[in-house]
Amino acid sequence: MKKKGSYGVFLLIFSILFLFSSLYGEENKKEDSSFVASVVKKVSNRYFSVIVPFENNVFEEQFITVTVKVFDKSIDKIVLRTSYNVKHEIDIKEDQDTYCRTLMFFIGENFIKVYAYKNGKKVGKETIKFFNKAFLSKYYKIVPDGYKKEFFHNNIYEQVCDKCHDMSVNEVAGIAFENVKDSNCYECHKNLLSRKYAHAPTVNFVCLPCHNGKVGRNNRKYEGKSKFLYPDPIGEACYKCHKKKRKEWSTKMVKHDPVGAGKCNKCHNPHSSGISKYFLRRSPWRLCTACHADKKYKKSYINLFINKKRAGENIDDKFLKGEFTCVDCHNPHASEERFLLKDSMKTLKDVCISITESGGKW
Amino acid sequence: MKLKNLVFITFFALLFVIGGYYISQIDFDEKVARVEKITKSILEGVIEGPERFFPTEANITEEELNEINISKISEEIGESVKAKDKEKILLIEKKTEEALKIELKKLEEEKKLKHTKAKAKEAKLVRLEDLPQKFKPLKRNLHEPFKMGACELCHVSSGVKPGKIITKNIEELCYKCHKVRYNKKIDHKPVKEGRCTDCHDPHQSNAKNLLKGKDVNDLCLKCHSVGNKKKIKKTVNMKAYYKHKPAEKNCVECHEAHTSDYKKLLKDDGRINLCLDCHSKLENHVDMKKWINEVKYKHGAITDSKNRCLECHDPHATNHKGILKKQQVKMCLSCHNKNLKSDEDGGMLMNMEKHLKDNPVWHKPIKDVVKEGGCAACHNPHGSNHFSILRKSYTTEFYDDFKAKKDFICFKCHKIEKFSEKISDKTGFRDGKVNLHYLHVNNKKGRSCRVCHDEHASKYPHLIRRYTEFGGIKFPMRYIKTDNGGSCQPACHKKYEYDRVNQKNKFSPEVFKK
Repeated sequence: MKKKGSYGVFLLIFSILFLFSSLYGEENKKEDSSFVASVVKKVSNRYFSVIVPFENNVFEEQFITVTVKVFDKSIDKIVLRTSYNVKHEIDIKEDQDTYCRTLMFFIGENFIKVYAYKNGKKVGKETIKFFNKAFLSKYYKIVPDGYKKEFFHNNIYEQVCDKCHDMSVNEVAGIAFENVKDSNCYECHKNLLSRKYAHAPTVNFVCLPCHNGKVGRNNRKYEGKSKFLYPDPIGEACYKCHKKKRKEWSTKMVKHDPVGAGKCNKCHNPHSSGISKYFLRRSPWRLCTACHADKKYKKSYINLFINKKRAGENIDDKFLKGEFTCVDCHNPHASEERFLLKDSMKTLKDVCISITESGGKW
Repeated sequence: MKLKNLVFITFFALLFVIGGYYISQIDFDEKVARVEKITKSILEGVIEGPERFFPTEANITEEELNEINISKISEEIGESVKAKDKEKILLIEKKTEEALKIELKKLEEEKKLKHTKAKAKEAKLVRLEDLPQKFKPLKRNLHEPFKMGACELCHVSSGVKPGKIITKNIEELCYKCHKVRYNKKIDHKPVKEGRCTDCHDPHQSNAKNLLKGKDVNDLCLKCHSVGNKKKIKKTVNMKAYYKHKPAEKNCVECHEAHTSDYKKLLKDDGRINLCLDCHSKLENHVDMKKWINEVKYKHGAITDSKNRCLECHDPHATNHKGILKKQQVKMCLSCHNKNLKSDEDGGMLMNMEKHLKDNPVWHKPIKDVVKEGGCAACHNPHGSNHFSILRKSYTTEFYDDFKAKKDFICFKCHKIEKFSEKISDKTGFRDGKVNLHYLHVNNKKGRSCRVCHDEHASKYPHLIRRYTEFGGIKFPMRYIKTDNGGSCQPACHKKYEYDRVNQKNKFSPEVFKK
């Protein structure tokens, strides 16, 4: 009789334990999803949720990754539509619930629209707005109201993606990867290599020399918010490798403002560029006139050269066709001469004086 | 018959007497000559100065001096030296002659006493003819007492054993006459232990200074050669191919035989000073003293080491060129097997042994030491005016102007046409016929040799580096070799291929212009 009673007690205890454990398990699952939701700040609909980009975020590069988490796998596909009306379709697989795509955007206000399709019908819709900040163009330099910079690479947000992506630093200081695919950064940021000309540290995914997590004079307010912040102004980091340039420019009389301020990344894209092998953000003429807007019109200059040619002077074809750029006469960084001229005014006299005489502004 | 016998006997007796007389006469003449010699040497000493007036210098024994009544003469000599008068010296000469006459008289009296053979045996001096057979034939140089026949100076006259010495120690016996005692810091072991006769023969020898061997080196190597019978540890292998000339000629050029203030019985500090004594004067050689002191970049092995010159060189003989202790590269690696501090900029020098061990492709001079010269083909181990003690200039920079600097050490062996001609098939690094060395090197920002090549050793063919360093970051070269060319993907540019037979890249027509 005693034995039977003890069995009953055991069974009771086990059943209670089992209940508790199952309850806690469900609670944990709930917590997980709610955490993701808290990151995204809202659960958009019952089919999916857009994790990245964050709502109203500010970006500095053109490539932005869109990550969608699907809750309900009964939907067939997800369609991404950018502000430039570029469409991307993602088919839903059974064993996968999170989908990433890296897309290219231009400067200014952007949005991405995410649609869920079920049996050919639009079921869910979600719109995320964000702002792509420009370094050069004065119209997009200042972030408008309602947008706020939020960094992804910190301990809280990284948890969202760390099931699939290893975001630990596996870069050995001072040594580049033999195979760049070994880098943990490569998987998500490989699009930086899609442009024609790329900076050597980018190609080799040597990120840490610049993205060292430190802050500079201009971005002190972001201190500690991201693991991979770069100090702004970036000059100091550039001069680590380009030592000779620093030496060369430091002794010069006249310096271009961004050079003096160490804002190399104003004109140069430190990652890569599709335009010039100096990684310029635009072609030289367009680059310079972005700030020096009063010198925007080439035509007046070209006419000058044509008139001079008619007067019997020897003038290079380059100038007649309008193929000349600012850099033909000016040194964009530093110079000993006035107006950052490459050579003394005497040698460049012919062109310059004629322009100033004719009322052209400098 | 009796008459005849008598006549014969008297004839022989006469012959005997006459012979004996003559023999004694020769003996007597010799002695006269000897005494004359002694007096002469004294007189010479008088004229030249008092220092030479010393019995050991003139090889005169004390006994001989006692025989000559010299005390009076010496007093007067002392006066004459002060006066420096030739007349007085002449006077002294006369007086010595008088003294000599007295001596002669004494000898004549002696002669009368030693007239017979029996009496000659009793006398102190032994005639050369009467010496035991083992001393004959006589050798070139004789010890002076031995020559005089004064055996009793050293030996007991009627001893139990033949040749027994008067005193217990040979040392005492020798120092009786040879009054120079050896009082410096370090003594040669035989000197210390009083074994003079280990090296010197007390009677006679064909070599100088009554040495026991044929010459100095023969004597020294009896004990100090490898595998000697006495098991002496301080040995020299003079059979090796490369010999130090003084060591081959005469040990005493550098070493003292008896005693010295410096280690290893050397005449001076043997680590560097002694070496530079000669090596600053030799013809057809660099003035090493000047070189070492005046050169801009110095080798720590000379300036900053324990053994200075002897850190690398053996002072006697070895089988390695330059009388080095080991084969040249191994010699260098015996120090450069760890990270050493550089004198030039305070940086660290690389661990070359590890570097060579890790990387199987070696630069030819290192691989073929005998033909190409090893490390010393590029580096001057005695110091240089170019950095890293290189024999000629080189660069530490990434970019350098090739046109201005054509006297790089590299161009000593590698022909300059390989780099200076646009279209060339002299170099293997070409695409079709376009010289890729030219493209890399000849621009405004010409890349220096070290950008792509490791000067010592590498894992890749053509000594291509694994990493090229720019701005403190090591970028891999990613060099892949193919049969007719290869490909490269460093940080400088994207992946480019080249092929010597089928041109892979398109070049602008400017490249082909002359």
